[in-house]
Amino acid sequence: DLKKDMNETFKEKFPHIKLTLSKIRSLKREMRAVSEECGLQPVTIAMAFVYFEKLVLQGRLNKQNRKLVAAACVLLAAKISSDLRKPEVKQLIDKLEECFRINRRELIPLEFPVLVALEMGLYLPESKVMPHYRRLVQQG
Amino acid sequence: MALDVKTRAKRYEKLDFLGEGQFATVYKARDKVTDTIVAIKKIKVGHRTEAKDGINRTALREIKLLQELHHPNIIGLLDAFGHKSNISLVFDFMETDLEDLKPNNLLLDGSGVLKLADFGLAKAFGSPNRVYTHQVVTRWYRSPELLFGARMYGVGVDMWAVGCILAELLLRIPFLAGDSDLDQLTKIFEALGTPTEETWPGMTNLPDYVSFKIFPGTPLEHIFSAAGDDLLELLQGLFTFNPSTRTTATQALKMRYFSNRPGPTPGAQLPRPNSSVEALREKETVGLKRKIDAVMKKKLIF
Repeated sequence: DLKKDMNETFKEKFPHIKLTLSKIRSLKREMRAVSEECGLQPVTIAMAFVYFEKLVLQGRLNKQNRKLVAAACVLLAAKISSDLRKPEVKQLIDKLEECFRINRRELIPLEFPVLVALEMGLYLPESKVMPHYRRLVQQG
Repeated sequence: MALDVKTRAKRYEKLDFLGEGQFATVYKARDKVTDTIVAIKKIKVGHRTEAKDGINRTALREIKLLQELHHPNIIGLLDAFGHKSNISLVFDFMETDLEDLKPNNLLLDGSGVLKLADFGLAKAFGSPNRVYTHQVVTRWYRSPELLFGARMYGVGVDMWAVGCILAELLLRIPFLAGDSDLDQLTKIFEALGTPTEETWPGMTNLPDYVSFKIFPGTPLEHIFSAAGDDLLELLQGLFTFNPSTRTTATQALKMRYFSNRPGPTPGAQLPRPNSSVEALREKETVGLKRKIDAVMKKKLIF
C-alpha cells in the first residue's frame, strides 16, 4: 500500500536513517500535540521540528532514544522562545514525560548532547523555519 | 551522540588562563585556522541545583542571540562547541580587561572599537560572589520605570543607561550609585528632582510605585560643571523621566553634541591601558587616579 511504498522509498533515499518515515511523522505529531497543549506558539513548534529533523538526518535517532530526542527538541525550542514563564517550563517537562511516556531523569541529561549535536546552532534562519511554520498554520 | 568535539577543540591552542568563576572559566587561545587570538569561555552547566529543569534558559537565549546578531559594536561569538557538561563559547579577544567578561561591560578591541559584551550571560553563569556586584552594577544604570516595576518597557531603559554611562565618563565615578532599589530611586530624585504625574504621566500607576519626598533636584550644569551646552542638552534628553518622551538613539545622534567640534578621536588613536601615552598620563595623575580607581575598578574603559 501507499504507506509501505513511501517508507520503502524513504529508506532507499536515506539508508542511514533507522526510523521509518511514518514513525518520524508520528513523532512530529506528538511533538505538536504536547506543544499546543502547553501553549507554545507555532513558530516555536516549527523550530523544534527543524532541530528534530536535523538530528534525524544526522542518523542519530534509534528506537531507544527517538522519544527522548523529540522531547528534548521541544524543550530546547520552548526555552529559547518567550512563550513560557519559569514555572511553566516545569509543567512542560511534566507533559513531555506524560505524552512521550519517558522519564525526566533520562530527558534532562539528553538535552545537552542534543545541543552539542546541533553544534549549539540554536539560531535558525527564517528560510529553515518558515516551511514548517506555514504547514503548521495551514493545517490549523 | 558523539561529535568531533576533539577536532573542534583542537582548533584552539590554549595560551593563557584569564579568569575563573564557579560556572565559567575564560582562556586566551589561538585559533589555528585563522591564526587569530580568541577568548574561550568554558561554561559548566552540570550544576545539580541549576540543572533540575535542564540547561538554563537564559544561557540558551544568549547563545541564540549572539548567533543571530552581527554588529561591529557587539562582541562576536565566533564559535560554540560542547563536550560532556561543558559549553565552550569562542569570542573575539578584547585587549582590555577580559577577566571581567560580564554584562554592562564595554570593551575596546585592538583598533579602539567599542564592543558590547556578554548580554547578561553572567547573570546566568556568573559566579555567586559576582552576582551581587552584577546586580548592584545593573541597578545603577536602571531606569526609574524599571525600578517602579514596569512590565512594559522599551528602548528607553537603554537610553537611561546610556545617560548614566555618559555621566560616569564625565564624573569618573558612577553617577547614581544606589545600594537598594529604593535608595536608587532616592539618588535619582535627589539629583534630578522628584517627578510628578504632570512631568511623567502614568508614573503613579506603575506596579511598584511608591510616593517619594519631593526633591527639587540640582541643575545638570552644576553637577557636570565641565560639560558644554550641547552635552548638557544631550544629558537632559537622556535623563527624561517620561520614557515615551525620553531621547531615543536616533534623536540623540542628531543632536548638536555629535556634530559640534571636536569630532571623535578615531578608534585606532585612542589611548589604551597599556600604551605609553596612557602609562605617562597615569603617572602624571596618579593622585587623582588612585581615588577614582578605588571606585571604578576598571569597570569602564575609555
